[in-house]
Amino acid sequence: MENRRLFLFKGVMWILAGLAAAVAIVRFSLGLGVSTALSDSTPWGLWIGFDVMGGVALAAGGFVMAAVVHIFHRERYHAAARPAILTAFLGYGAVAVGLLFDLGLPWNIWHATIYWNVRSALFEVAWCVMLYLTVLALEVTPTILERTPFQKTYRFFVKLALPIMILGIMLSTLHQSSLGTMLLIMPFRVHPLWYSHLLPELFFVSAICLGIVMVMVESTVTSWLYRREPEMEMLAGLARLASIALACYFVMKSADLLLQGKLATVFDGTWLANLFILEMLLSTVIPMVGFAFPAVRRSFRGMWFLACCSVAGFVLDRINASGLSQVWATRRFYFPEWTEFAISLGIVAACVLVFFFIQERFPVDPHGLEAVEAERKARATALPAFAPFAQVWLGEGWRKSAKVYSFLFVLALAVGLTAAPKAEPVVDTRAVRAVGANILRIGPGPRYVYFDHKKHQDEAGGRKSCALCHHLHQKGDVGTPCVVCHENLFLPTSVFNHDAHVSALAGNDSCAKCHGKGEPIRVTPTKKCSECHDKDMMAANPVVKTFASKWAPSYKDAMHTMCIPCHEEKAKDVTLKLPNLGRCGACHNGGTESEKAYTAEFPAGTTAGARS
Amino acid sequence: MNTWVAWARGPFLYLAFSVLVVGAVRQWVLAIGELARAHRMAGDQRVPWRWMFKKSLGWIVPVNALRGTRIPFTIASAVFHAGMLLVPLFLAGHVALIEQGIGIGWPTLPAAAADALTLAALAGLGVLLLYRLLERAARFLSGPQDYLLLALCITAFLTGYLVAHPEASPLPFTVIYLGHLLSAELILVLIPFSKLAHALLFASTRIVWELGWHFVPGGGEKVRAALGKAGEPV
Repeated sequence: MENRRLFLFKGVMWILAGLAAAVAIVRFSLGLGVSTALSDSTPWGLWIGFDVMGGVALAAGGFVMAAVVHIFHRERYHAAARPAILTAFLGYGAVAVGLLFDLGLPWNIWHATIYWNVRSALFEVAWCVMLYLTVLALEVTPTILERTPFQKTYRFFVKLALPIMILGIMLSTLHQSSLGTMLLIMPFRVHPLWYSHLLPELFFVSAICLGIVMVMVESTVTSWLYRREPEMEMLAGLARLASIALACYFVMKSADLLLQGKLATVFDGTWLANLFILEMLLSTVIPMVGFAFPAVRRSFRGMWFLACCSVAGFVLDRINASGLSQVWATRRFYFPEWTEFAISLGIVAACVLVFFFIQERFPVDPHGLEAVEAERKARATALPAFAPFAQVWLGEGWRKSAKVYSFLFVLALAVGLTAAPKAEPVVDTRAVRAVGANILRIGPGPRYVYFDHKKHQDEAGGRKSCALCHHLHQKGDVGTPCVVCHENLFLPTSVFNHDAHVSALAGNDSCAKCHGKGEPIRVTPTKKCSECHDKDMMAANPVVKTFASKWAPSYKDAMHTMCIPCHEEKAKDVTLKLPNLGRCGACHNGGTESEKAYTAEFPAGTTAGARS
Repeated sequence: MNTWVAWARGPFLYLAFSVLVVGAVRQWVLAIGELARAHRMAGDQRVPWRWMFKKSLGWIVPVNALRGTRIPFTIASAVFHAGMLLVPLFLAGHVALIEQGIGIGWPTLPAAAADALTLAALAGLGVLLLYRLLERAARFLSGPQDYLLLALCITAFLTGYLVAHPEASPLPFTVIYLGHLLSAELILVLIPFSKLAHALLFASTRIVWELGWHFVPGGGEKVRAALGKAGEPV
């Protein structure tokens, strides 16, 4: 009797892989702008959250089981060690592949090996992934070699196993936590509920939890697919372990929130707070409580359900921490395109298929080999199989699989190719703009003006002058809009942030540091900015002179004196085809009634925004 | 109706060509496996290339078959295949559409020649259908697929002719046009997954067919054993 369940499951995996292959073609030929909903303000979407952060965490089963079985010698879990390590190997491979999709210049992925930036959090992540992937490959090798003629090599790898396992556990510890470190360096982007100084530790502990529940999911799903007796004793033990680990995580997380004074934020009713509650319930609270009941630990379905629930919760946690919780800071809407889902699911499907492939040929655990043996026996008495419509003999064994699955794969591939977006590649990104394209975004909406970035940079004193416009105190890496300094429409505004200086110079005791002791607090005896900020803020030859005197001209003056001459000049350039650029209506193109009254006699015809 | 035509000219066409291309690649990859298998299972692994090439040419240009027993069938089949290959690929309208889409064009057939070939192919299809219906052996061997493919080819050619000569059409132009687009696209989709795959697999089938006649290794001995004459000289 053929295993229909397994057959259908593999078929679905092949369809997902086919769709992903189609999207991959589009993504690598036309780029990220066409194939995804990612943008400059939301460069980390589903792929980083699920494929990279989630993928690494899902692969945690490898090091957890290696530690449990080979370091703590809990032989009861021996059967789960090899599948868990194989999953970790495939998971990390998937992370590397997934990263290729997400990198703007994927062919530079090897740069981390040669160009060392030892202060970068990503440097640690990159090296940990590379080293741990190598270690995992060494850990998987004995499984592959065990039943081959290369027994000498096999014995060598078995001897090597323990030091390799220890190295693997070390690297995992480093790496799982360094993903948290990566988020640690963006306090302005990550939402307070997810941001914490304990992020590395929280990531590490949650990875241990996820590792255990992931091994449970894997074990239950394979025994269901291969129609095998589940290893209930092992599962129950894992459930108890998971319950303890989840409790540790829960205590850590709540204590962290409590000590940071953020506990009230959890219940403030915003959708991110509700998302946080959902995530905690799914990942931690429900499974933690559920696994504590002996009745649940005796039920196959109960353990399967709670483990799946926990896995979903932790994956949601990674997606939240690396993506959704940052939308809070950037205020840009982001929802993944179907193509992003297709790639994520397709990579998982490919991993699952490779897992089955290895499991059915090498001694990973008894399920796969026994299933293949049973099928071989059944084949001797089976009737030949024919394709339903084409009436072609499908062959036997792997030939039949190849014909059926490749059929599903190519159909999905063709449908995916048809449905995938086919627009012109996007080249107008912020990076392109910054290095030479002459477009500047003004305000939060999609409005752009002609702006020669390079010229401004050169005139303001080269690369050191960035802080003139891109003020470092701006949150979320946002460029400073004009109105931040040119605050008043008609009057000059002081751009001196007195409060920030007071707090930076140690509160009320610090007055004398600038204003002098015993003298009246007036402008004249006070220190000049340049007396303290001679290097970090002041450019050699600043283009906006008023900055040095702490006064920004009124918005009207700034715009009219800075923009109009250039607009008029560009209006004369026939190649730009913007003859009305110098007119009032080019910028005052809508808005209030009074604005319309002033600009009615100079209709724009075309606006500055048309060049976006 | 215009929406349907727009779909048929846009996404459906793209889908049909995607399926054709990736399906063809699949068939060729699978064919490599089949070739390797046939080669492995043949006792005599030499492939008589020259003889096979000559024989295949004889099937493509069925001059010898004209002395056979099914002469009308042979002629109808050859005429239909000529039309099926030449008209879709070299009709001026098709080439213009392809040039518009991907920027590559090639010489075209004169309109009169295309018309003649279309009508000849239609006549050929009629003979093939009659043969399938009337000849006893052919009727027993035919399944739903055979009639479906014939019907699709007839629809595609008939509607194609009417699209080129709208004055002769009994139905509105849009209907005919849509019928032509959809039937042709269905043929493209079915090429890799039905008996139409012989268009892709002609060469590999010839080689497998040739090797398939060879005994498996040790096959002669097995036959002799089955006949109860093991060890005896042939």
